[in-house]
Amino acid sequence: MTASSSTRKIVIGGVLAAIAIILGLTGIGFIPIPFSTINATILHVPAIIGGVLEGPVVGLAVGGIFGLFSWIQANSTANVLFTNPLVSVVPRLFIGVTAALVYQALRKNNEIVAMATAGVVGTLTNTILVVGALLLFALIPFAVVPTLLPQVIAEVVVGAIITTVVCAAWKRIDRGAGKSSI
Amino acid sequence: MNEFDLLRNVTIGQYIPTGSVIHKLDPRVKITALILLIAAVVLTRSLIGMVFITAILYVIVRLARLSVGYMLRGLLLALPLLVVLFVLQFLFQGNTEPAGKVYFQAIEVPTWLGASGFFLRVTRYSLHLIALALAKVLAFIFMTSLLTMTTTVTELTHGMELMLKPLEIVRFPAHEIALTMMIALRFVPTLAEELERIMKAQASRCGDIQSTRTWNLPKAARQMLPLIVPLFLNALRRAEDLILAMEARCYMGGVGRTKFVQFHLTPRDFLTLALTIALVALMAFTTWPPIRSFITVL
Amino acid sequence: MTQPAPIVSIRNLVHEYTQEGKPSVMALRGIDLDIAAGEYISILGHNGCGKSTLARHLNALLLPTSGEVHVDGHPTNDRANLRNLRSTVGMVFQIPDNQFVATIVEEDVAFGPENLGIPHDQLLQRVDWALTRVGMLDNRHRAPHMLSGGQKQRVCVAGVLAMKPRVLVLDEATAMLDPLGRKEVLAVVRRMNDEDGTTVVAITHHMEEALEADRVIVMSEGRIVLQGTPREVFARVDELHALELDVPQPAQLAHALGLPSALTVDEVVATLQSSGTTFSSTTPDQNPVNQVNPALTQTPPSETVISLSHLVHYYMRSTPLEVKAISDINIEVMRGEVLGIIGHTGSGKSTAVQHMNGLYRPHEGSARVLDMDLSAPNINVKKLRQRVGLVFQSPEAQLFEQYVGDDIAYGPRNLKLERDEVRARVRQAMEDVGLGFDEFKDRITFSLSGGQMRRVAIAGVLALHPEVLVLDEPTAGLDPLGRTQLWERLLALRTQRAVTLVVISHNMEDLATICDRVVVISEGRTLTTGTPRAVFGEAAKLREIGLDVPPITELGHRLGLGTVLSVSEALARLRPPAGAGAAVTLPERGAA
Repeated sequence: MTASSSTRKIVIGGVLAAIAIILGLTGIGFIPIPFSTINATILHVPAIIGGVLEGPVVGLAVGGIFGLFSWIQANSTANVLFTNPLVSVVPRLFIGVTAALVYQALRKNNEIVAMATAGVVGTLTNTILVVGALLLFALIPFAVVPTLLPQVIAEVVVGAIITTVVCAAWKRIDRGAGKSSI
Repeated sequence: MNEFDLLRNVTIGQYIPTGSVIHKLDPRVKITALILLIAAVVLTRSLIGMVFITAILYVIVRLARLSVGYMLRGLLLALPLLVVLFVLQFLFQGNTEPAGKVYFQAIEVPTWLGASGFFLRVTRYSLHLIALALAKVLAFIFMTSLLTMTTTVTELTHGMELMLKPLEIVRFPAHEIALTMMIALRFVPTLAEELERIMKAQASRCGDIQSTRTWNLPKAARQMLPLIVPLFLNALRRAEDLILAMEARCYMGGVGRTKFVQFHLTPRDFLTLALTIALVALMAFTTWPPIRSFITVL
Repeated sequence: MTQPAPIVSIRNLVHEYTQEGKPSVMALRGIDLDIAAGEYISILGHNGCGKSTLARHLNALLLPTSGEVHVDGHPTNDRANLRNLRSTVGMVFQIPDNQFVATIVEEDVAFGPENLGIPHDQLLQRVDWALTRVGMLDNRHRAPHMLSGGQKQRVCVAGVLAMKPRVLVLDEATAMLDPLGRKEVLAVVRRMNDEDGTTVVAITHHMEEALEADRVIVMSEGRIVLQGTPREVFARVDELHALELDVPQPAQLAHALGLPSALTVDEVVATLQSSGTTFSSTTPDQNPVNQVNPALTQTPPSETVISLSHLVHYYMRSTPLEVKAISDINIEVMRGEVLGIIGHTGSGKSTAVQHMNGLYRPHEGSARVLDMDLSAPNINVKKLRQRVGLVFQSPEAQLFEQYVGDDIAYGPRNLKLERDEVRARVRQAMEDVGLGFDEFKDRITFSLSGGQMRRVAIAGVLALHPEVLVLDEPTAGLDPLGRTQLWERLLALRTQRAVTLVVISHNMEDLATICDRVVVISEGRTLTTGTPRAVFGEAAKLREIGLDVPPITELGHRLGLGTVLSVSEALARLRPPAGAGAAVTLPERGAA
């Protein structure tokens, strides 16, 4: 017999949300990239991983808590772009959900490909919805959007890699050549 | 400070115990008031209205015995970003008509671009937009700081749970969400400590923990793995332990549970709520005069 | 009707772990066990013997594959009775940090009774009562992560206690605590058993804890292989050794002397004295030869490799949260020696050793490591960390590569070594920790056992070819066999690769026999430094700061043997070599 599934979802959602908060607080989750003043982040990755490991509900919960804290954080650091909860919270709810749905649809064929795709889709969900909301509330003009491209590419690649590596390690799935590169 | 010390004592939330009357309010009341005020601020398009509500918020901040300077400390850091945003406003909103009075314009758009106007144009309309945005930023900082500096995250979580409880009738998982949040808060210091240990251990193996600016994205990702992978695996392993421990302590979902933490509404709470609603109504139904009627030089 | 019905009754319990796509594992192969109400039971056995699995059957965290478990008359697979069952049998696990649900102590203690639906006024009473019972009432409003290990675990016990269980199961609940924390928790458990009549089932690797029990159960390969009173079980020294378990030192000595009924220091002393045997130490302390570790005296260490002098370190320096972590640390490490560091958790040991590879720089005082002065701003930190390897507590938690070989290669690759050199170093490091290169290099890291993962992590540091290896609690959480094997590997590094070892440990028995010198740290200061014989010779001084000496050393002192560090040494002094004028006459072993 295993633990009832709701306890499992609550606890795993909780620890993953804790990681999202820590990544934001410590600056570990930022990747400096060329040609961009804003760093690419992996703060959304816990939500994706939550979706992949425990399904859309956990993905939604992790994303929501992450959003809530990024909102509080934005207010205490006067990050004007994210002081509006419709920008910082609502888009984050969908990260883990889309990731989970993509993963569940693809996992039958190839687990590793499904994880990587979930990483890509989850990241894009975050980017598109956040940028969309910023545009909607006229916090940034449309002309800025193309300059965000380097950041988006970086987040997609890094997000996919980290999602795959972490999920495969946790599920003890061989994702490589079957042997070390020694 | 040491390069690893950043993780020691990470705190979430900015609770400052001054013991004021605002601190003593029921968290449910504070959350409700915040939501109402946010709605009011978001919907206000009048500068005078914003000035009015910001002034009231300032009074509440003083009432909570919080330092305004401390609250606005983040603003200084955000200054470059604010300047960039304002310049963008001048660039792109300057040509919006009706512009009102034009104070300054320069660098005309060449006709061969097929458009007319100026690259840099400061108009009354764009100034108004900026002033409004600035007032809103200020109001948002006041509002959220008021909540997070006078209420512990734990109180907030309990408050949220109690408020969402009625929604459980339509199978909204209020208890589950609150518990998830509580566990997240609980694990932040534990995992931060763990992260510190991981960073030190990888540094001891001559690893570079600072990522470098590079276009080699797979490499950038790989650089993060020695920290990120153990952090996640650790968290998940701890989660497995906690699941067992919770089950062993008779956790079987929210049904039939009682709650140790209870809040009781006092007259003070009702008064606060009434005042907030009055304020929001005032904001919604007042037709604010245009700013020009006060400052005629504009 | 003479005997009351047992509170726990297990009949022919079999448990098989099945996992999709993997061969199933038989964890329990037919357990029969009755536990009487009010009994205190200890379960011993090495890792993987099935003792945790058995414990989890007691409150239906697992259900039998076949056979039956009854608690208080109800079968555990009766789902309707689950809540009742789990409140009857409370469980405390190994790692306190992984058992908290709430951010405040009292709210966490309330979690169990909340789940039981206890009305609010009674909730308050129960929380008060439980926290008082474990002596943590003053800390009720604190955050759990601000507490010490022992305090945390006491809060966990309170959390279980608040459900008013009749059976308390401790699943290695003291394994990760320092000696002081362990004593705190044991005292609480003892009181519950004595005063409240709570039945206790304690799984442990610490044999001294098993002495507390009414009955000791030894498990191996999913079966109960030995049981009886501690006296009966620990008399069977040879069988226990065959099962790769420890025997408490006094019991070992008693067994070797043929006094099978003596278990504790007190008993051995009393038995020896009442038998009318008088003896005097014929091997006085002037003989400096460490019998267990004779290699020590062959090359007297001379060159200082690390020197920490009047070292001071602050956490969160120049912030309002500044804390003085260590205030006056003086440690000299000599080339080729094994240096032990003892002290309580929080005494500053870990902070001190983190200066040895430059993770921390001295805030005051000086730290010289090899030929580098750590106060100088421009030292080559990478070179330093290559030469002084540092292994953190539970290092397996820092593994990240999918394959064992790649993880060990992380360090050498960071040094930008040639491919062949990396390979050679990984091979050597793996062999040094006893993992075959070809067998293990392509294994998936996270599918290894805990002990194997720890060895991989140590190999990862060894692959840097350090001259000095610093280890923080290298054996914490391992079973006796794993512990012995790891010490053997580490000591072999010194003899075969001339690696200097600095070891932090709470295990005084181990340190007494492997170290050349021991440093005692208390409240951020070095208290004393000396040979194990000198340091443990001043037992009173150690007790003053709440540290213990190995039981055999205490026994030696009580018997007037001088300072002895191992059972064999004590024996040698009780039975001096022929011709030295034997002062002791004891019954030959087995004669009784």
